[in-house]
Amino acid sequence: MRGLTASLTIIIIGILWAIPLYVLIIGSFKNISEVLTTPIFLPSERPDFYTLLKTGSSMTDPLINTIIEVIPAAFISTILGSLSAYAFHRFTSKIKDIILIIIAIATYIPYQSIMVPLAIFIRSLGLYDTVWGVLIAFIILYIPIASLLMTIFMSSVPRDLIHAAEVDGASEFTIFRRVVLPILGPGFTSTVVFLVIQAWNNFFVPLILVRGYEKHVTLKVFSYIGQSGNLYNEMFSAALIASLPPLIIFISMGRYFIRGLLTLGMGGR
Amino acid sequence: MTEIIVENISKRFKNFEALKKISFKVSSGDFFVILGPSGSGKTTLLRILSGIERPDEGRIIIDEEVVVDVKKKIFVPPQKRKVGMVFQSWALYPNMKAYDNIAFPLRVMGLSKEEIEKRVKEVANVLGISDVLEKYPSQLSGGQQQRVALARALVKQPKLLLLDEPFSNLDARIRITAREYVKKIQRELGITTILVTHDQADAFAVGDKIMVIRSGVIVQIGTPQELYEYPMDLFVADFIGEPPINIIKIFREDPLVKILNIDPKQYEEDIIYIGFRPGDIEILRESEKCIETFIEHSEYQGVRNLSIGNIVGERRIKLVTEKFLKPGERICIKPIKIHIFNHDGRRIDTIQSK
Amino acid sequence: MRKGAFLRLKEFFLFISPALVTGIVLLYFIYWNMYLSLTDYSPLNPSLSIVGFSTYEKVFKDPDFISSLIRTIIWAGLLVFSGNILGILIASAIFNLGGQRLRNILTAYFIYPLSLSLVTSGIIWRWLFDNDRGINVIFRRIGLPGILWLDGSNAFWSIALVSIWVYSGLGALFYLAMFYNINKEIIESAQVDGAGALRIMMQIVIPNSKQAFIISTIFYTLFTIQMFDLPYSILFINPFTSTMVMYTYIKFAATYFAVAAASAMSIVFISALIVIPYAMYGLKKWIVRA
Repeated sequence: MRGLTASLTIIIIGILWAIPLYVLIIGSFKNISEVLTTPIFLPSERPDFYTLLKTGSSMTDPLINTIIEVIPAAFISTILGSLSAYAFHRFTSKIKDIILIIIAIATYIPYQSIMVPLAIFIRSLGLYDTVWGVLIAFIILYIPIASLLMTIFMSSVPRDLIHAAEVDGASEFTIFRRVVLPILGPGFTSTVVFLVIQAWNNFFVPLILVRGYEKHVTLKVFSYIGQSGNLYNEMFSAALIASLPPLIIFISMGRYFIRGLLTLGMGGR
Repeated sequence: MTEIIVENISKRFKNFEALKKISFKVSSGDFFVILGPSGSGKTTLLRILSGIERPDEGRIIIDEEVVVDVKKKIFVPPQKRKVGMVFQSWALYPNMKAYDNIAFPLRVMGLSKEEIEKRVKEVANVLGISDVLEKYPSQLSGGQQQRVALARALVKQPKLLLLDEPFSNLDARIRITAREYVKKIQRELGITTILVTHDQADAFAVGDKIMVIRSGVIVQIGTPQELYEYPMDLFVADFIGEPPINIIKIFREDPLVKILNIDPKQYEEDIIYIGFRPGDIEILRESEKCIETFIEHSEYQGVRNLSIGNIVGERRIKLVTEKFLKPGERICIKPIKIHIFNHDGRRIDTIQSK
Repeated sequence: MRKGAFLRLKEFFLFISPALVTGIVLLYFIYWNMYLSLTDYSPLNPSLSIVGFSTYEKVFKDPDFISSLIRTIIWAGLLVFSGNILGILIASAIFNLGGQRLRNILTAYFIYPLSLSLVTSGIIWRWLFDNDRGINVIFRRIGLPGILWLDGSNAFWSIALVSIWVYSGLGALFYLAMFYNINKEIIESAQVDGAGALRIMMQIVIPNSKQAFIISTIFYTLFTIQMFDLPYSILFINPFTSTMVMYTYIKFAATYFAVAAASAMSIVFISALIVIPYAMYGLKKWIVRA
């Protein structure tokens, strides 16, 4: 009985939930005349790849730029964040609590509120409108979050293992690299995945640090809005191409991330 | 008048057979204890009785109503079984006061506010928790929480009361009082009750009938006295009784054969086990036919003193005596009552001397 | 022994230096922001001399700012209210289904909107809200009148609806995490007490999920305060959907840095109000439990 109501609820909400994605996908394959005449819900009679190819080719530059900005930022942030998480796990002191609070506050402050100083800072470094500028901005913004996330994952590493390595004479860095990091694998991956998706989809940071719309994926997609007018197939194609990397990552890894989060909620059971 | 009939209940978890065709009856008003070590399947059996778990085979009849019959595809969900259950963790609702916890089943039944108040106050009175009704479970002691859980189970006047290791989370001192009042209440209310435990002391304290279960199979059912005096096999004999029974393996050429006048040959066995309780012994003079014992260790406890002694063949036995035996002493003992078990562990004879 | 302790302290600071440095950089940015907000920097007056609180006066007298402030607060209320309800609904439904694997997949499914950029979502919904080719087509087909989704003040409610779609999955996740945390025996006990699934959810499971409510509310509020990408992608700059970040951005783009900074400080202040007490309390709990 309860399974029935639950299933029904999920099915109804689930179908509604999928409509935007459905619309995005089928809209990308429509040709111009269909776009102007049919509602967005109707799939195309003859799927048209032309628009996709056209938008795809003009997106290669921003795509490459974005990859260069996002992937290293995610990895660097997570590695450096893990370092601090490890340090917190190892040493307990009042200073650590204060530092933790500083980092927590840094995480929660909406990054848009520091747009002015951030923009001025990056410009003063001469990195306005460069890939490096965005990369550095991402690193500054994401290391605190990565630290917090890795701190939470760090709790699953048994202290005894670290003590054993300590007794064996290993240096802190060796312990971190050879004992802790391997165990932290899933947590590390989850954090990187999370940051990659966050950074890839980020619109605001490139908006204020880059000139024009041609150099970053989210900006490029945005540029189609005014540009294409009523030709939503172009907008949708661009958006679909830009969304594929995070979507694919999410579909393949999302389940593990969720499982990890839920077990954390269960106290690491 | 609630009689419980359990027929051929089996339950499998992946590759593990928890229960293997269990069948037994519980008479109306009985305090029935299912006693067994961890992993014996006793908690699974209780959960199947309550309806939380479904068996793979068999059927159960509660008060002439078939609550589950796997073959006929009958299954009555726990909500409809009119069973009261006390979980090992007590499972009190943390967001509700004690009063609301106890009132919960009555509210589900849709009783009037006045009726609910009356019943809750009544059962709280009987269990001595009237003064903590306004408190939350987190504010109560272990003993109080247990009584609230019990009250919640009893308040709906169930046909059957199920208790899952209700005393295991209690301190030793509170345990004894808890066993007392649970037994007393059960007798007063006359509710058919099934209690599951691994502690034989709990079983003996409250049970009218005890069913010993091991690896999903029933070993013996009987009154506490029957189980103690006439255990069906080594497992029961060893599991019941504190300190545990002395078990000695006897070969055909064993020196004890002549002393005790017990020979495996008599039973057509190559080896037999004899068992005698630490307290079932006489201390005799060396001249008579008795077992020489060298006292290695002893604990003074007043009326019942425990000692460990060495006997022929490098074997050790436990003794419980009124007289305190000092380590280093040599005495000669004769068991008054000896159980004989065959090589499979089944009891084949009991010899009692005058 | 002493030497060892000193070495460890040194390594400790080495290890946390990236996090500490970036944390301090961000705090410094806030300080910088505060400084800017106390100046009068504008395209007509590019000087960094402090003039006190006059910029704040200007900002708080600006009707655009006030309306964006109020709008952000209302938006937060909407998202918190609807997001929690929808989150509980989805979580409850998933919780009552069998199979852990199915439940994990479903949970991930309802979070999928968060894997899309808000610009993408904006584009999609822009067209779903289109009068001739969007949702209204279906409405008219079943006999209902089409809604002018993006017309005038309707736009605010429509875009708020989109934000609910985007973020409710996350709330569902938080609630599910709490549901799983509840001792199974408590739910079984309620079943033996005669309660059906609905009663169990409403009287036992959900009331014991207060922590999920707190975390969801905090996140929903923070998301609303950061709201920019979504309304900007749907209607660009529009008086009916202007949020605080949008106001700040407009001023920033026009190099009215002092005004932008003052607006930004208001954002920081509001977030701090919400976040700091709970961050200190909640974070301690997370890590103490670790």
